[in-house]
Amino acid sequence: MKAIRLRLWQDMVNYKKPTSFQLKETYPLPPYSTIIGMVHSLCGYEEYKSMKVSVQGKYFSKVNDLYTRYEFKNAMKYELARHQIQVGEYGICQGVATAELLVDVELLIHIAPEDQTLVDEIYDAFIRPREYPSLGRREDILTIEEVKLVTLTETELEQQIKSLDGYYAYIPYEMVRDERVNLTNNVTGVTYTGTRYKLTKNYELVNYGSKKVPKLFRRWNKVDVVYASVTALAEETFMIDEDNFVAFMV
Amino acid sequence: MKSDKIRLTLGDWQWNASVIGFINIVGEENVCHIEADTVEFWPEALDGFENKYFAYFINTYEKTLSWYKIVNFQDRLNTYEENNFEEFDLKALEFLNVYIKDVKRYIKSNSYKAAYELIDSEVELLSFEKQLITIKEPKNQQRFDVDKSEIVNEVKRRFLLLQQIINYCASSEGRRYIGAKNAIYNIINNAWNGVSFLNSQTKEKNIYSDYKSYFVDTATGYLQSEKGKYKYNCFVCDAPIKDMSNDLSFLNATGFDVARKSSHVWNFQNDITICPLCKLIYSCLPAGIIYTYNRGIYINQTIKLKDAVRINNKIKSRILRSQDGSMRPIYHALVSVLHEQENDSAKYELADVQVVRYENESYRFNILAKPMLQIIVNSKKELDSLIRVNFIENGRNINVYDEVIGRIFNNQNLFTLIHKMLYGKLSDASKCYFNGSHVRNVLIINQLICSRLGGMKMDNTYLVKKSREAGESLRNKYFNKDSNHKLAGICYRLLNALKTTNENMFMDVTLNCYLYVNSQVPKVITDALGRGKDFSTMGYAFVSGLIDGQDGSGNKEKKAEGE
Ligand SMILES: [Zn+2]
Repeated sequence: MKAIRLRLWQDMVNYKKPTSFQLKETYPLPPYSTIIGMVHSLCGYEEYKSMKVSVQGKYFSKVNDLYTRYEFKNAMKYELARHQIQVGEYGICQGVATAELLVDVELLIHIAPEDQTLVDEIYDAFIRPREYPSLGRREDILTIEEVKLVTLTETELEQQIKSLDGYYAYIPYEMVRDERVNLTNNVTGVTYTGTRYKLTKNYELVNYGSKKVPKLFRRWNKVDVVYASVTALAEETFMIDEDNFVAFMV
Repeated sequence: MKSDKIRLTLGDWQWNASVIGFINIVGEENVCHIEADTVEFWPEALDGFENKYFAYFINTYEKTLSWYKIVNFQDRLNTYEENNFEEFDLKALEFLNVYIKDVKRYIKSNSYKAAYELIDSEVELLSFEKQLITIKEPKNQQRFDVDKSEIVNEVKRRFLLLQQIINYCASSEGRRYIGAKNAIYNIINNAWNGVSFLNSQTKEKNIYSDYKSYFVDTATGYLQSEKGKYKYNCFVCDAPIKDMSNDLSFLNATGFDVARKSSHVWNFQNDITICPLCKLIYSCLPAGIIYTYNRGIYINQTIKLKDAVRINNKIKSRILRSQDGSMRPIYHALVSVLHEQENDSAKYELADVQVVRYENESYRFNILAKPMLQIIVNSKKELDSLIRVNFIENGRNINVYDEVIGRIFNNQNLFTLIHKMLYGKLSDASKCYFNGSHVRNVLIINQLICSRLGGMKMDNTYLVKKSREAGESLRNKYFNKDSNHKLAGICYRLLNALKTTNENMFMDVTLNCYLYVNSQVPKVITDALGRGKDFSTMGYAFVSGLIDGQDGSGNKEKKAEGE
């Protein structure tokens, strides 16, 4: 399977959880939907292209940042008591909220489109981006350190492979449950360490209205992963690229 | 009517804390762990759920409720009466007056008034409030002794009133309704608001019935309904739902006003809606988070539900056991759970586990990486010394222990904290409740943080110790020359140099100092030059030695004591 491997860097970033409107809680690594969204926007895809993604990386620290929050309802008229900003006849609420920001993020990402003919196109989109690439919020600019075309091969390991120094990964939950990997920070007497997330990956648009008056909703497809530092165990099978990086494709 | 078992599986932290809250409320014996991350229960567990709901909060937080402060006086009352007021003195009278003021304030508050309407009793508590007045306190104990018999008569009359108030509150209905009201405004409203009994427009006065009809009945009705034709899906459990009417906006700092602020969501359509059962579970969020003084903590152990229940219960009992009325217990409870295990491995039980804190009405998150835990475990002694260390900055009380732990969690070093402490000590020592050894301990922890990537070095304490000694010895030389008045100015300049990591400026000042006292610059200072964080550590330790003891007198005599 051909894949695009990315080494990325971001200095301050928030990978927002879909349910956290006020909290701006960040995930420790970008969730799949964020990466898939970035690929779609860089390639200008209008419809969903199915792809598998592996996310690994680390961040140095975390800060809480104040930001200005704008909230509004489509076409809601300005009201003095409710809105702080008037735009024409419409009103916008302005307030202050905090966002968690990860500092100094390094990422190692593998992307493998199901339609393998798209590999070159996606590769090119990262080599020559149409607009400045961002990952997370619109303003979370991305520095692309390396883009490489790689081949992922399903391999039974002869030797275990540790994660890169200090790197964490999203590991499919079954892999942890079936003990095909060893969580590096594991200690004896404790079943597993790590934090489990149900990450959004992609959605289908479902029309709950009529053909004439469509009412579209996203139906999310979620995946169950464990965030942890990981060692891929010998005698187990993993997707490996030619530089001996394990990819936990989801 | 079919009665299938209901399953709850772990998800994100807010859901997990809610599930644990639910288990706490119905009791572990009423759920069945079927997989590591899943429990099952029979719908019968929801019978009388509203009673279990409030009982959990009242029982768990009993001693923190104002209700308890009222009824807990009974013991004192009995003791005084049994001893015929022999031990009743001015102090006891002052205490009684404070108590009377509190009782008056509580029993005329709106939430108490609302509870009276639900309590079936002839007694009119508000009429007591007017009669209940404080007793004039004599100037001193001598005056008190002179008038004692009169005072005691007054006190006896108050006791008659108080006894009736206590009886009223301590009755099972009193506890049920006043306790529930207390729980709502002290605990529950930290997690959610705006609906059911926390909706200011609610028509139902009985909080139990309100909770039952809003959350429980809707959930059980939903469970029994025929879902074949429902076309939407719950965002949490994926079950089919009829409409999009339930969302997360009632959870504090989470949702948003769907009707008025739809800009938050894709296409202005909120597609994150939940089923009535999940909504009931979410209403248990305040029973999953552990609260103390408007702060909360939840440990999001996500792999094994049993572990999550166990760890959070451990922290809960720690926090609720420590009743010293301070803000500290949250972090301290967490850290002491890390430390309490005899075997080494359990100290790292929480490695890579998410910690959720609720502070200033918003949530904070950290994932406890193993190196952070190592720092906390390895600096137990130094950390323990900081538990009660405070200083005031811009009128705000800052607890050094909390600051240190908070920075360790965020992987930040402590230099700015050390700077603040030393600066505070220089400018207004009366607002700094710490001494030089505390600064030293913060410096030692900071060295651990700074050197953590290079592993643990043994010279952490050595560098801090030697530099502090250098500072102290220079300080003594200034005292011997009766030039100690110059020290403050010198310290300010050194701190400024350190803040901007300006080694040249720092060296200019120190060289002048040593020239002035006619001594050689100690090796520990020159060795640290050009060594980044070590230079800062040396500098701050040196300054802390220079400052230390400046507020105390008799420094020359203290010289020999050292550290
Ligand atoms: Zn649901």
